[in-house]
Amino acid sequence: MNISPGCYYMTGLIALSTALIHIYRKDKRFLLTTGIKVTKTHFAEYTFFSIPFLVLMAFSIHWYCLFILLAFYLMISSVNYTYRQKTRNRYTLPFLPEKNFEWISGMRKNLLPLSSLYLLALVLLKYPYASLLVLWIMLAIIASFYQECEPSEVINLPELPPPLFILQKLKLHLVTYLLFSIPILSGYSIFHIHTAWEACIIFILSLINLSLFILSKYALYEPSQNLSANNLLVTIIHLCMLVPVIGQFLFPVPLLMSVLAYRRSLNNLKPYLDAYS
Amino acid sequence: MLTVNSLTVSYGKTTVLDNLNLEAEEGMIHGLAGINGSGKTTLFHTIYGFIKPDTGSIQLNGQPLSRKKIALLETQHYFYSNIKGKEYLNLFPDPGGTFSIEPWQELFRLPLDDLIEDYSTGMKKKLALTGILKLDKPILLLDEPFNGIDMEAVRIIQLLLVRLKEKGKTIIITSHILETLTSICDHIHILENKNITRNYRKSDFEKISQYLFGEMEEQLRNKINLGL
Repeated sequence: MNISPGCYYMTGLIALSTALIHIYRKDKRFLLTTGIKVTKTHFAEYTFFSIPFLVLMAFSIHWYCLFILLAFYLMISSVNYTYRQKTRNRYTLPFLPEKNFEWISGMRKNLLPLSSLYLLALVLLKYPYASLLVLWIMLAIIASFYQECEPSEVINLPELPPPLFILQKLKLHLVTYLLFSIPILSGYSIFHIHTAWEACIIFILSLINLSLFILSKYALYEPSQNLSANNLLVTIIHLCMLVPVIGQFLFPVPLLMSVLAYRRSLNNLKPYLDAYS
Repeated sequence: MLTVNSLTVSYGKTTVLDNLNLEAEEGMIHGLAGINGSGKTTLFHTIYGFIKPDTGSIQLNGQPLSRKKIALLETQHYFYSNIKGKEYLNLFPDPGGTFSIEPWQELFRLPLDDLIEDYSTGMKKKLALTGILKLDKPILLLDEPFNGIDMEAVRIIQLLLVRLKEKGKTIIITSHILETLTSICDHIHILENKNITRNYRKSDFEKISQYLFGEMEEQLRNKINLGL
């Protein structure tokens, strides 16, 4: 079985995703206190969760990518972790409106990975698909902006009934994403003028997935709650769309889920916003 | 007059409020006291419209109460942690156009340019209170506004509520600490056994202590006989 040349992209993507997971996982401090052999545990976890990809790689002509990936896992698992107080970012991106608190907070929280990926996407503009792939990964980080629920005081501020509230929210966030992604998309279209339609398709799919992230949040909204479990599910679906062969069959899933999440969010928001109908 | 008539609220088969009646005069501070789980927050959520009652009605001067007239301060707050205090307050509209951040910042000693993640519980509470006061609504429902707040801030909030009352606001506060209510409330209502069982005017507040430290204490003494 030959899956070349996507194998290089796949290796890079998995390595990048694993590195991000490793950086952001919250159990590192806890694991240190338990006396568990942290390096072995991390290495085993990352290897176990990437078995499907490792099998695909083993049967491709670029079988050596498998060992590169395993070596990478070993390397990141071996990095010594020391706890220190986080330095918090207070920088505000100028294109973000004040009402978009999800993005303001999320951008500050993820400024380092997002800015690194953004730069990477710009650097890779002349390579086919590379920038679009990075843009797709960035959207997985953006999904985490929607795992927290605002307090009831805040959801009531626009004084709008559920359908209008959702519409306003979608409009604000989709426009923000457009402003965020436009430099990469237009740059890609300039370098790959004959295949610019691919960038358009990726952009449309990104908008559908972003809508799903927002709608899922309000489908399960409870004031001041954290919806990390739901958020993980939609992020996994989003990332699975990158898996060769299987991924393309997943494209309709977010659209279908968005329709269902929209209907559910209207119902779920009724107690909080129906008073404005 | 805010009137709650024969209100019954259930969660599934559990009745939380049973045929509850409450009258809250305008331009007054009403305290709602009760033990944890007595239904204070449920009553607030029902007045605010989050929960639909099984039976009963809530009216303001004989008309169904509109949410646009109420501001609710919830007990617990989880803000987006990486936004600044100032950004949070800017989310709230200022209908009167008279709100200025600086005096509030000074009054509550809030570091509004810091991220909310760095705020203490009390600071978050003060920030949330400032936000809903900015809305300038005629009815304020404050659920445990004194929780997690230092002594100085408790007194500041008390004085602030008295000032708001003088400006004609109707304020209903819950607390399970009676002392925080007696110093500012005009009426105190005791919520127990799914209903408001006792209403006290300011002149009768001494009777609350008599009830709590007399009759009720006797019952409690019997309850805590755990063989110690």
